Amino acid sequence: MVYGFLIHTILPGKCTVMYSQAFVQEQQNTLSELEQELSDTDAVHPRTQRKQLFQRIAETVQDEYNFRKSVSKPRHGTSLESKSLSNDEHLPDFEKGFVKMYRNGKFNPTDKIALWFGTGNISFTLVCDSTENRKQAQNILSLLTKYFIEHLSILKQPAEAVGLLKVDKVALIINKFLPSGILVFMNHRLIRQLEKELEIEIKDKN
Amino acid sequence: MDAASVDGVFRDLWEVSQIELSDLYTKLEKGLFLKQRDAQFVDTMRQMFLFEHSTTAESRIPESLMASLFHTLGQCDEVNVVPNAIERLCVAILKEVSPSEQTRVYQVNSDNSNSVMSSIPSSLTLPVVACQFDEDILTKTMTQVIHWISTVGIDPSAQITGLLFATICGFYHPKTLSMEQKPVVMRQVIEWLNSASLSQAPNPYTHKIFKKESEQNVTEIDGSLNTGTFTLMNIGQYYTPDQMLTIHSFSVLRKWLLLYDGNDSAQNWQFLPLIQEHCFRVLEQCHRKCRVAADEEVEEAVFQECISILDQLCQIDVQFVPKTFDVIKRQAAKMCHNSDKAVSFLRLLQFILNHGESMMCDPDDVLTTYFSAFLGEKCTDYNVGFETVTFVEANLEKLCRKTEILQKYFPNLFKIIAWSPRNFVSEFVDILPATVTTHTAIEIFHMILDLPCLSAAMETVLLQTKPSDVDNLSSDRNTNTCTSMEAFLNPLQKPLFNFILRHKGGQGDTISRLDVLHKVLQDLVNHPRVRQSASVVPDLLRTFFVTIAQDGGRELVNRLIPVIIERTILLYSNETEAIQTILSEELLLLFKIYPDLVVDQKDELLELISTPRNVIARQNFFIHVVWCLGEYCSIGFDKRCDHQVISTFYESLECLTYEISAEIQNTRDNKYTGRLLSTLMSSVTKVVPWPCPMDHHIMMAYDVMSLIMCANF
Repeated sequence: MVYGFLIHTILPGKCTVMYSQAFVQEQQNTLSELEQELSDTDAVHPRTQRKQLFQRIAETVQDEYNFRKSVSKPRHGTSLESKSLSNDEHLPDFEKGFVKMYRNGKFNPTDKIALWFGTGNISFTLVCDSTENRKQAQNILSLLTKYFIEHLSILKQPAEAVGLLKVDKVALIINKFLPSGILVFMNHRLIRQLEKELEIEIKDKN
Repeated sequence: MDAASVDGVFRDLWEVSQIELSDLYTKLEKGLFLKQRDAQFVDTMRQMFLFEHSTTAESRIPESLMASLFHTLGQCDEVNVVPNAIERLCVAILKEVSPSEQTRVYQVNSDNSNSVMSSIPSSLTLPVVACQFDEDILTKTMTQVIHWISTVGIDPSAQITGLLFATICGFYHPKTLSMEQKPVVMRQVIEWLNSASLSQAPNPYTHKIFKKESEQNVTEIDGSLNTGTFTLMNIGQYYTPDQMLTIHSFSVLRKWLLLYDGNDSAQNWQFLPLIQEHCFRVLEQCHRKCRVAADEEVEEAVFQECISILDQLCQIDVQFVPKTFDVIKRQAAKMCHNSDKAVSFLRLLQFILNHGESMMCDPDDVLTTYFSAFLGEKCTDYNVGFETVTFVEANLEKLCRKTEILQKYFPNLFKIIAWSPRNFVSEFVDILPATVTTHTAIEIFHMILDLPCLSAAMETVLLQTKPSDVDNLSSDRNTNTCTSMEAFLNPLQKPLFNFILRHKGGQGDTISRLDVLHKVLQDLVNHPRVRQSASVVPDLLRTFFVTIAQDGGRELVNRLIPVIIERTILLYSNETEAIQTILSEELLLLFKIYPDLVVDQKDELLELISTPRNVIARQNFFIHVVWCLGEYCSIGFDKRCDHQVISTFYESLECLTYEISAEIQNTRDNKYTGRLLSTLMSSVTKVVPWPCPMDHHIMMAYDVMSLIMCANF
């Protein structure tokens, strides 16, 4: 299951989560009584816990991304490259990776694995359950990224436009290709079918 | 778009004043009431979302606005009407502020006019429900959704929406599903899996309204004619609603199998063989060559999903194992020469490890294929590294107790952490003890200390395989950049690289020319990967020594001590002092556990303390050794510690003390610390052989103390 999705900054400095959504509210209190006793924080509101979890994931991705940048050579492709589904030459090079987020008593009741695609100062990150099909998560995140870039100009727009992030379009794209956080196995024809629906639905006056 | 600009934009949002916020809420409430749809109103709603998103405090949305948001959603309950931007933003805002007492209240009141529970599942309302906390609400919704799923005549796209909600909610809140409901959903899912038609849907965008397109069947993924029941791997220009149900059913299948628990009645789950059949069909399809390259990615994902589904099935009921095992073994045989499919191969491995024992199958061959050949080739692939570490951690006990894979192929495992150090430290702290045996311990000790060296060697190899990148080396590199690469290409030094990059352990603890290898890789010692590698060595070292202290045994520690002593001055790292400190402390602990090893190590220790030049490069370590000598060289700890042994140590210590004192006096050099001198003195006193003239001692102590006082230590 995909638990949530984030868009956040990744260059050194303050890590800002610009957009996030969770597909479900997790059950709290999956810790044993002893773990709860040992947890040194007071009970925090579930929404705040979600924010803390997302922030921590974003910061971990930021660390790993900056490490990759420091060690990668110019023109060095990463080995997680997936073939561009539409052979679009305009898609930028992404660094890609996984980070693990173990359960803890403060803001994370279950183990999670976050898949991230980062370029420039932006990362698109899928937060998955640890049993999720990670190959398909990569396939879907590739698709999502392609449509975000196409319909939101998210990489090109100046900082001011971030404040008016078209969240309804983000939500539309996610709902089309990651409905309710479920990774649907889509071959190229199904993708095309959904893509055509998206093109129609996303063309409103805005 | 730099971090400061983005942060600035969000800071502006956070500093919205109370009045501005109140205005915003009023504007929104009014706009929703008037059913505004213009661009400006959409922007206002976006602004509200971003504001709510930027706060961690509980939402302060007024009751009336909350009511308007829910009311807007409740108006849209028709199945195939596409939600507009305003409706999508209502959902986004409500999800963002959930869970909260406010949103809970609106979910509960499903009998009044504020109800958002319409007669059919809606893609707008269910996502908001899924973000609530109250399990009563979720249970009630689940019951309704399952009713929709299992009722004939409900629109398929609505049923898909319902199925997806039931899956995600059931997965994260299993208590919302009763024992009776699970098989109801499963039966429906399996029915949808196997009952789709084979005809392609007509083109919904065609303008040829008078020309009836002839019906065509779906094809296989390689373009050939379809050979069996419809599955998600079949290609059609457009998919019919029942085919969409099949695709979505497969996509959620494994999640529902994970919900099966031992208390479920087997009678209710008699449809499981149909899953096995379907998976076998899909697996066969996954070996076809995709006509469209883009399908290769999903083919790989579906393959892995099938294996995982079959694994789950076999865990539920062992009757599925024999037939499935044959299929899995055939798949493994097909894939054992292609390291590009390493991760898919790992899924097969997981199955074999889970069920091989019941089939009397030794997994050694397949494990060797992966850990030796595949991992050797793909050790710089971040994806393969991650999947391998995850696999090893999940199966640590089995791999450790029932196979020798970890003890044989730990060099390849080390390559993973050498390539991506900080990402895997905590996992390696768990994995490392499983690799340490009496045979591998010394070799692993060397490997830990040489982890930065391994990172440097891997960098060199990578650079060598991409010669075009040599021209692009960044300008801040050392001008002797090519030294490591030249060495790699030099036939005399290539064997050094071959050793450090070996796949398998047990071919020698280390090499005699390790210092040469360190030297030729010196140009990379400040490389970011090498530095990060060096930063994780302390954690691994500590873990290693904890393992040795607990389970190593006297004989192993006896073999280890000379190696520790040797390696304190043979380190490839910019953090030699930190490593030496750890080695000092750990040596102390080992002698504390086995004090009689002082006698066994007599020759090594005497050699160490006989030469002042051994001191400088590792003074702190030396101090610890001397202290141990003084503390444990006694007949109380070891009956072999007789007069002769003690005298030998005494003479050497005394001699060294005099030499160092003389050197300090003559050169006025502060390279020796007061701590060293005082430790020497105290150890000399402790190992004094009786009888011994005390005045001689007192004079020596006086001289040493004067030195310490005068020399500004």
